[in-house]
Amino acid sequence: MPRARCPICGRDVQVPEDVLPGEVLDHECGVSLEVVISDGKILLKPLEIGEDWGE
Amino acid sequence: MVSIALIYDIARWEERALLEASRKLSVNVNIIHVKSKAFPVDGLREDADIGLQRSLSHTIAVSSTVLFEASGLRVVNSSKAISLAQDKLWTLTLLSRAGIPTPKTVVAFSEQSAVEAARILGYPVVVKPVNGSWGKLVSLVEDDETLRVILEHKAFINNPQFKIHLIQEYVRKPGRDIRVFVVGDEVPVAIYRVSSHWITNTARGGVAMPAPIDEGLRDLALKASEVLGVEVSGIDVFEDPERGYLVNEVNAVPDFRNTVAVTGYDFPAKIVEYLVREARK
Repeated sequence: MPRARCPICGRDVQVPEDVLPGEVLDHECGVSLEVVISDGKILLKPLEIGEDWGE
Repeated sequence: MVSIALIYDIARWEERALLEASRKLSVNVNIIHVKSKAFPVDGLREDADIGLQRSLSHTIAVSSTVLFEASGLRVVNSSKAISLAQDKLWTLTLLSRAGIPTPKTVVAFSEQSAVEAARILGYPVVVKPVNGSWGKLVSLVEDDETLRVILEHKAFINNPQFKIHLIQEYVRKPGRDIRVFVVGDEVPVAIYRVSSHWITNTARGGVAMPAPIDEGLRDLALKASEVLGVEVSGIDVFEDPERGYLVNEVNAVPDFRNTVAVTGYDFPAKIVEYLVREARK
């Protein structure tokens, strides 16, 4: 299973093999992380809820 | 084999469930994460027979749907339907014109007219923006003074949409509202959203429970969908003790995780099956 680093707590985050770009992962430190795939590398950034988000 | 373009910005449980449903139904999915790349305005070609719009951002949902429609891809829901459903003023005016019962609503373009509107409707009133979701910036207001404070706060939000105020009667719901799901010409599942708070959205803590669908509810949901042109939607319905069902909102990119959890109904499969049928037409 791929790993990435939590940008908030610095600990490892287990990432599913079939992770999707834009997928939301909840980390044990309490932060929700958004998956960014750039040049084949998996990066994580804190999920920022958009003003216009909704159903 | 039919190929579906899953168009999205943020992947949540719902998008995963749609992928899983597609896999079980042997439907190919072209995953289009709209934030991962840039798209040409002309000459865009995606390898898909039909698209499903699942973007959380209202702005991205409309813009990316316009883009893919321009390339000739049929997208569910259409850009027009999403635009109409996202805007509560458009939704309510179109529903009212079609004779669909809705909560009494007045629109005000200034703070002063908002106060006058509230007095006309009679307190308590609900104040909400024309574009919003998950119960955000929706306020229950008991008097002029509170309303003026809320409007003053909104005046400092740097977004012109928040300068248009929908003032709505407070419908005395029985501690719940109904979320009715429509797919094409079917109304497969519905839930109650139960809360001791007057805002019953599950995003705000409302508890989902299975709800029966009677003929009146089914007809109302189908008619509301038809008026706005939405094909896959979640329609929010109030139960007024005297007037019966009132359509409050139509959601063009509905959340359904809680619905699947409490009903066991395979709503993702229902959506995928609908898309396959439409793609084959």
